[in-house]
Amino acid sequence: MVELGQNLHFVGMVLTYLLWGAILKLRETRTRLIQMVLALGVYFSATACTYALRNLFPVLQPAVLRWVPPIMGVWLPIAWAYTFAKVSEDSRLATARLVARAR
Amino acid sequence: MAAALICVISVAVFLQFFVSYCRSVLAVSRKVELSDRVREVSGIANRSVGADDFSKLVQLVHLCPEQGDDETEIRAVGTYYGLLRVMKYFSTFLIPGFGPWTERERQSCSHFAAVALDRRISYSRDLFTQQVADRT
Repeated sequence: MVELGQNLHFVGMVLTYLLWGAILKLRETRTRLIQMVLALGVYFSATACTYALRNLFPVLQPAVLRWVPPIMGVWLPIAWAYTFAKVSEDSRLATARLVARAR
Repeated sequence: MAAALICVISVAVFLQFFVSYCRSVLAVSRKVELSDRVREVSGIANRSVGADDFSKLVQLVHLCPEQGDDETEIRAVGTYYGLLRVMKYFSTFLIPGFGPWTERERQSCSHFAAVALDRRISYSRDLFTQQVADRT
């Protein structure tokens, strides 16, 4: 069951990463869309990492790792609610600025 | 072996998504002008928000009643700010060119906290006005 969760969330993470790559390539500027995809990426990557750690170190499960999936489950709707509540539909953002390296 | 690989890739991708998410939240807040009221309350009336003002501003934010929809973002940006502090510490020894960039990012975090404070002050005033109106 843990391995299935790990693999499913990893696939979700890879697909979200591809979606993020497409957003960067197409120079999508809608802030709402960008924040929703990034929040989804945070959710899938954190959950996949947690399941992988559970697989590697089962001893960590009762103390630490059991809390991460529920926390991430709350994170996603709250992050999306914040995006809809605080970011206007017309808001635009240059994606190049988000991945800009330090100069 | 597969689990270790997934773990390493997930951590790398998580960091990338998390930093980009925080930067997108900061970019949205950067467009918001601070009111004179919040400048007065936080003691930044005659200057721009400084990189080191973040902790003070977050403390002030937590003194105001919660609106209930920005707490997660404040925590996420707080984590990002902590990450930047660590990076600033190491950049002084390892990559000196990184210093000004972390300083700019930390300043954006402080600006975000000031915007959150401004929102909460407005919310508190609205609550107070509503309570006064209900009594009369």
